[in-house]
Amino acid sequence: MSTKNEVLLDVRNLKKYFPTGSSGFGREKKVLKAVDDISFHIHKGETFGLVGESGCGKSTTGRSIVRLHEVTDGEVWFDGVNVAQMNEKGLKPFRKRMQTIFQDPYSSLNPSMNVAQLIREPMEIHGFGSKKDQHDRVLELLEKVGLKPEHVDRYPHEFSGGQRQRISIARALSVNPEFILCDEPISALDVSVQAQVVNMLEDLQGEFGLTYLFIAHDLSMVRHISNRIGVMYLGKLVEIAPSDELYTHPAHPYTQALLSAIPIPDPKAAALDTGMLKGDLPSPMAEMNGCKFSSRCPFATEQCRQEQPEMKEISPGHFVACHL
Amino acid sequence: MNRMRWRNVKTQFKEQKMGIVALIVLGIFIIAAVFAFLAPHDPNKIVVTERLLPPSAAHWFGTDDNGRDYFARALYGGRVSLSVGFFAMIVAVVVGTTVGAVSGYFGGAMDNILMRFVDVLMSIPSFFLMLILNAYLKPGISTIVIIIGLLSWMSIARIVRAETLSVKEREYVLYARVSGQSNFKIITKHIVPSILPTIIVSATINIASAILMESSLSFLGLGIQQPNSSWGSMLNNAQGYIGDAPYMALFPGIFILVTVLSFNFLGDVFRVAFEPKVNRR
Amino acid sequence: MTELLSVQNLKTSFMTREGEVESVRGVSFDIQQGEVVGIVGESGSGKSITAKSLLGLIQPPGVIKEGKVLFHGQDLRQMTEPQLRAIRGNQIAMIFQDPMTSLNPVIRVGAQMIEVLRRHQKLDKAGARQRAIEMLREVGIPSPEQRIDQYPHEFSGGMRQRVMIAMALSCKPELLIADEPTTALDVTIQAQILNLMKQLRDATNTSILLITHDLGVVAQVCTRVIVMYGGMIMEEGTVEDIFERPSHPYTQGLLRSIPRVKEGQRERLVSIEGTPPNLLHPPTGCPFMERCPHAMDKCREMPPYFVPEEGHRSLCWLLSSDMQQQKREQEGDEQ
Repeated sequence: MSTKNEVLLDVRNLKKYFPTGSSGFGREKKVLKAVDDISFHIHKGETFGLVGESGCGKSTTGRSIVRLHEVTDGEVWFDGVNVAQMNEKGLKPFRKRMQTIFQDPYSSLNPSMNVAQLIREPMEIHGFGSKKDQHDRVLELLEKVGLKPEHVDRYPHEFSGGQRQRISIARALSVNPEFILCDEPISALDVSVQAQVVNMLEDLQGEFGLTYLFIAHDLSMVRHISNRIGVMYLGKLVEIAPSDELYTHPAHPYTQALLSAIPIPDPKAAALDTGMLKGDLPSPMAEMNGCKFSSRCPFATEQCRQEQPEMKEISPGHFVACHL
Repeated sequence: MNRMRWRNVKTQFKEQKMGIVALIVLGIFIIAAVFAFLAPHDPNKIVVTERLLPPSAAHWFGTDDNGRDYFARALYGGRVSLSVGFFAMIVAVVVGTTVGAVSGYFGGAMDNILMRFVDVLMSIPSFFLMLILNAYLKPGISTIVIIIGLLSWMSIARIVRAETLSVKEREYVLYARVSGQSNFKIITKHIVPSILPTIIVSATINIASAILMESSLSFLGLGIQQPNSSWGSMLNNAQGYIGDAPYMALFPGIFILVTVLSFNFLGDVFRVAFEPKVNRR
Repeated sequence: MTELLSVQNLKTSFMTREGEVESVRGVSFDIQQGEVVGIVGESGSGKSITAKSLLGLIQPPGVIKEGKVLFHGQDLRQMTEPQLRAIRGNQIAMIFQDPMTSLNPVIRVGAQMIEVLRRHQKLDKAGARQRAIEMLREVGIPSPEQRIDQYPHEFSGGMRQRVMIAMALSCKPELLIADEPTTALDVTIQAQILNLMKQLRDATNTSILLITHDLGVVAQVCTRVIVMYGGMIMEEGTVEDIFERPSHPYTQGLLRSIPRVKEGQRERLVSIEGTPPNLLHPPTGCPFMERCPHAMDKCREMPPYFVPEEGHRSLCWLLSSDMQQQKREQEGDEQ
């Protein structure tokens, strides 16, 4: 586990609201609080996992950090510089240091560009060496991600999902980034291929000292790859803990419910426990005063419905936002 | 555009015989227009003694009211009609794609302003606008090209905008944004190539409508001026002699019809080829 | 137990421009009354095509080339479309992966359920409505009297899948075919739906054929498992057979590539290298050969099914008596 104390990315009170159109004349505009005041940090060389169900804001968080979205409020400190409110021009050097791997291997590669053009794109943007250097680098990267040099002039449709994801990884690596946002990079892949990609990400991290923010909904894979994990629910971080700690001693009722819902590939394991969690996610538009989870929480008290819980450290490095 | 799409176009042509026919017809017309100078007669030479002759071996399409060879005039007229159609299409596609892509990509206020402008332009009957503009501007081929081009880009802009809205959410565009690609490059390198099929389809249909517009203008005597001819102006000229020399209306009329039809067929073949889900069996 | 459904040598292909893609290449299996059978496989393994072929839901360019689908001993493939329609939704029901597109968005949920009920059950309008409300209550939808008059967009994904299940079960089918019913749902909702399916199976004795790529789901709900790869059944057995004594290298690889939750330890995942075979030109031998760590010359030949134990079969030469003999000798040598 990473014990390096150097913080690479520090997110403070990040908020991202989306306007969703006014609900009629004269009324105030409705906003969707996709990310509502979350804070966490990631150490250098660490993998931070962000999990939660669809609509919890995990992807929006990631995309706000790499500034694909305008940030509504809050700070994103990357290596000592706040990039949250920076304009595109100021961001450019950071675009090189922060790269992204997206979920869908079918839409993340432009179908009309061949592999060489795809992998070269970020190098061209950041003026990385001569044409020749760039080409050499492409070949080197292809080998690194387990593809062959003759693949260089093929087009994305000639590859399988796993191979496309390797191309995305090569593209992200081409400009020597320090931080890679992995936005559900394995969700669209088959189980046996997921393992290939996860192993590769781990190897590359070891080799280049990369820092990952790994977003996923597959909890077992996240546990496998992450050093620390944050659990999100309706735009809020409800729990942050080292990954083994989170799985062995989940403190927040939502984390407990999430973990108990993972189907375990062992017929002898206890049957799924869904007694805890009834009902669906409430609409993210709804205003809630208290804890966002109180409507589904089996232990909710009056205090939970009235007051928002603060993050508390219950054991070293383990933070929970729950009154109980 | 990648090779797979072009392969689809090829197979689609094999499947749809009308597409091939259209391609051949247009090919012949274009070649004829390019090599019009090889015609046996001068299109503008007036021979008073040979007025209104019916088609014969000497004058394949007969002669007109001024005794000019109608075949040569039809060839030169085709040159004008086709090039007006083509260049007006270029103007319309360039303006339409730019406005549509910018509007769709940037969204927000920019999108609002541009699209309301398009709405306004579209609610003015363009033909009347054309008549008015034509009255103020110096008549000539380039004037007509610009007028037609500038009045027919709006539908292309709308289609391009709609496609851009969906393409800009694709992850390769998001990737280009987070890796610091400039907006201009994103539009030219990722968005426009991705919607090229749509642009090609609307461009093809646009040529057809531009040719029709030019013909209508010229038919009303407002387009191409004497002694030059286009198929539309030839039709205009034929009006007075419809009883004596019906062939004078027939030839340019058929050429306009066949050309417009061919471009429409072609557009259809492209559309099916680029959207593999439609009509696939 | 009686055989409810018996599939024999099913072959389905897709005729594409490039040629014939053999998606399902000779699949045979049985489903008994009250059983929950899972078909697992990766994308392109032919699991979904198999399920769709059973009910004749293959659209051109797909063709069912060969095989029998015996339901109560009657071949569904010989039936006319009206006969099939009477069975579909009535005796055999199907639910699909995407609950967002399975319901018509412009018709009230109740009206869609009532239509199905009236078509198959000869109920009057009031009776059908009553039954629809009961079904919604049974699948755990709160205040069904109000919800029945709402439109699909007013339901969440999980709720819609519950509606789909309610519709599927409303005619008391003998067989429910569920094609990736929880893939589009979140884990907590998935757990609820899976539990619901189990409860309903226990209450109604409906047989279920569950198509999924998630081995965890299979382990939790199925009694028997069919593992598909490259359009063929690689291994079939009870859940215990498959998860505790997997005999086919593909099944073994699949199980190993799932991260195991072990206390305090992080071991490297074992992945299956390579990619699945191209079914445009399927290999004549074992489809898994190229990726198999135990591949040998003999694998170029298509293996038959070997039966390591009662009710457990496996398409792999490693289980032939020769190989088993060799293995025992090797083990003997080592000792």
